[in-house]
Amino acid sequence: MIQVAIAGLGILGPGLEGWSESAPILRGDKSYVAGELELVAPSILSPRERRRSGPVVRLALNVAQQAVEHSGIAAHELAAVFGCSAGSGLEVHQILDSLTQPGMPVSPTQFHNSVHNAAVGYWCIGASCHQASTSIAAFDYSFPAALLKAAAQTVTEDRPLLLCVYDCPFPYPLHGKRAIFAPLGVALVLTPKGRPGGLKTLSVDWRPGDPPEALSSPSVETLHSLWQGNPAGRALPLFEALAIGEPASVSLRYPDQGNLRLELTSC
Amino acid sequence: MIRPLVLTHFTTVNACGQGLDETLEALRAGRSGLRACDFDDADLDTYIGRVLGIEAAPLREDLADYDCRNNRLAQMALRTDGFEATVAAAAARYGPERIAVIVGSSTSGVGEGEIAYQRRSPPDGPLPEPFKFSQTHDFYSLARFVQGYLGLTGPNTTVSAACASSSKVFADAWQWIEAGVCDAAVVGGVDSLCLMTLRGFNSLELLSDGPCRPNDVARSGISIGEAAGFALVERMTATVPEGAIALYGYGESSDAYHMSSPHPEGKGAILAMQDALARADLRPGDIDYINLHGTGSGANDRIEDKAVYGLFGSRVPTSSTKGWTGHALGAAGITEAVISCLCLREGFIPANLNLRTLDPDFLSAVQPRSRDLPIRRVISNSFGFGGNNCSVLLGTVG
Repeated sequence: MIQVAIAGLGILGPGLEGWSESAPILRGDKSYVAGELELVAPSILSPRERRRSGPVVRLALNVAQQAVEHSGIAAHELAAVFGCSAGSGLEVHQILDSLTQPGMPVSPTQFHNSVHNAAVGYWCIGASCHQASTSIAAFDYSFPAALLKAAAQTVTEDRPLLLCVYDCPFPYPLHGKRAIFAPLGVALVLTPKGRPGGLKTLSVDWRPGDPPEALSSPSVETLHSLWQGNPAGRALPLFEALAIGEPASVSLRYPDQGNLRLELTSC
Repeated sequence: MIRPLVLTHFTTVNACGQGLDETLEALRAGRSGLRACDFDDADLDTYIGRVLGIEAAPLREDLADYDCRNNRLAQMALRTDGFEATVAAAAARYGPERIAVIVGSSTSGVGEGEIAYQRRSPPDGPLPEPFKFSQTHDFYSLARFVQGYLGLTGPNTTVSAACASSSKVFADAWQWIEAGVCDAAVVGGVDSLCLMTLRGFNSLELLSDGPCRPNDVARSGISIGEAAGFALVERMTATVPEGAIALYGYGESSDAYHMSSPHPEGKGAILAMQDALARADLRPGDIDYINLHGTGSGANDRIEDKAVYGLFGSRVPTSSTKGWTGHALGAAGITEAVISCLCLREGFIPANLNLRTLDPDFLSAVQPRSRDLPIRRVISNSFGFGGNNCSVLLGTVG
């Protein structure tokens, strides 16, 4: 079992615009109204990079920035683990479409923005961060996979870390093959236990072969389409427990025959 | 100093050889795997590192849904050098749930997406039915396929950090093993030729017109290759024999500069190599050979030379082996880590193939010829788009 502290939180999705706005909804104190999410250019980027940033970069950087500001730790001091199923779906679609045109006119900017690690690359540019950073993909398991990686890295490297998990819907026609319901990003700043600034202690335990009935779902039923329809939504039961603030345990399927068991306790 | 991990077994399939023996023989003979581009209808005046026989190597029947060029290449490597048997023995020892699968890829099976887009009918219609996105095109397809093929049930993930993907897998494996998440890990990487990368690098004007010539004054770009490679890593124990290969360090950093151009002072490259040395508790003078990222692009090679010279001076022999394999992108890290293992095992430093005239501005000790030399500690560099860098420090036990 791995123990880390949570020092900062961020959440960004339709009707979930920021942690302080979302916590009452996750607790069930305020009703959830989805609406449209406007993805504004992240203020952390220079004007040139802002112009070049596509939707997935905007989503990831804005939610990352929330969590980092919440933690009070300087962005350049945090290692970064970004997790995402689809990567840069819009840019991949644009390139695949270009490849069917005469002369295959791929745009160079689209190409370098199409890599899965575009978001973490832009984050490091914006944050002037030279720390270790990575980008991982595990389909619907992208949140538990990235969390397990991030927690292990935090304790073994003994350094604070930014975990950011996000996905945007694919455009048509890829959407027909991989339906992601709506954009959603979540971010956590993790620190080694015992450092100042910890909000909660998070224990992370990967267990093989737990029965699926032990799995957690959000109590707020109107959030279920986001929970099931976006890989980052798998974080919602944990974020609900954080919003309630009591000791809690959450189980997430990862991978097909295992569970990631999370325990929240006070610091 | 970190607790080292032993590389119990490793394998590679790349353009110059299928398996360790063929790869070593090509390295010894100075025989490049690069050829004029004959991939599909890429229609490019460039050279590629193509693995032959993928088209005639379908997937194991129970995994047929995962069929794509990338997973076929993965399967070829799993079936090479007795790798799957070594993993099966480890699974019997630890339990299949105690072995993680951590694999790198930049584009996974996007080639299937390319085919699906070509076959839309009408051209703005939906993607055709046979296209299995999740099992092929999706990034996680590779991790799932490798895990399913090997019958493992531990945690798994695909790392997609461009050209540093399959170096970073060593860092991830070390962290998971050290934290007790697993006892061993199958690490590796696979990237396969596709129009997206060929035409994409062409749009950035980064493709060499002939076989790539890393570090040469007349270098004109990269030759894209495809490759698959894997290693089984486990905790070091007292019973590991002398001469075995181990991971003694890794170093990760971010350029924080530009999406597709390296930091002009090589800051990220220097930080990655320093980090690897620090973890291994070694000084620059302890390193016997550096396998360069050495893509053959003007900027990469110039900046890497500056970074390597700044840290190591001109004493440590260096070379890029991309003249043999091409640049295998997300599989470059594991390919060159495995080549570094062969160099350690055989006591051999490979030439910087295709080097005629070293760039006169370069100061590091780029090797014009292969030579036999007992070596004990090697650094292998991988630097990617997005500024993700990783250096892996491998060495001989004993």
